[in-house]
Amino acid sequence: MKKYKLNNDKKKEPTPAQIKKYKDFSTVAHNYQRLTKRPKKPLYRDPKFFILIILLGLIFLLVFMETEKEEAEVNNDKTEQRD
Amino acid sequence: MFRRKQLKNLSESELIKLAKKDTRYFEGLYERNFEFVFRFLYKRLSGNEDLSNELTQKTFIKAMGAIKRYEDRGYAFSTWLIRIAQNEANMLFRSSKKTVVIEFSSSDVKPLLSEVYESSEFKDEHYELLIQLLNELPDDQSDLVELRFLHEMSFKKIADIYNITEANAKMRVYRIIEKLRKIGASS
Repeated sequence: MKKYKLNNDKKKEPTPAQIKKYKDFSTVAHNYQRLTKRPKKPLYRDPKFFILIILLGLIFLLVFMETEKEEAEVNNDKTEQRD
Repeated sequence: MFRRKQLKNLSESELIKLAKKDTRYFEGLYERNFEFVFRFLYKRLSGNEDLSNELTQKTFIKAMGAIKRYEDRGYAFSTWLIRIAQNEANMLFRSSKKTVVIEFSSSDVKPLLSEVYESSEFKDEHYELLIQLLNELPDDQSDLVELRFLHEMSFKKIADIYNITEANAKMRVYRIIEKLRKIGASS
């Protein structure tokens, strides 16, 4: 909200020193760049990271399949020995 | 900074064209118009240095973002910046929880008083009453009063800021004076 007031001692104009102090284009340009910068690409949209995830998945799958196979063979041997 | 010497030799319309393609050229427009915008906001915010600086920065950041949409209609580039600065200040007034005080001195108010009371001799009560009346005006009308009497802008400049004709700007200001005259006479 704004309110008008009568004041005969008010500051009328900024001094040249004040103008010089605040005149700074690099700050304005920096703030503009910060506001308009594109958001960082999410990791899953990075092709290298995507391939790494696929490879890790494949390794886990192979290890899992291999251990399953070994367990199945051990179980088969046990049943054969019982027979 | 970016080719500063080169920027100094370019005209304002050339700088605008270049800034539309590459915002680094906006520096030339900033250098030429900073003082005008800062002075405008400093007066509007009654000498609040920090707030004037903050809003001046916001004005130029907004202008940088909107420069591609800027159309040269023959008005000075500074009037476009003042329109943005005025919107920024109005947004601050609306969003601020504290009341922002805008100060007028007796000498700022005197030309308006002469118009309202059609006289040249005034007592303290006249000044107080006028300020009270200004506080009751809607924002769009008090903005016009500020431009004309606090910033001492010509009708031509006001017309450029509002993108209206000079005659229309005069008419709007005189309607407000007429309104103040009527309220002043009845109170």
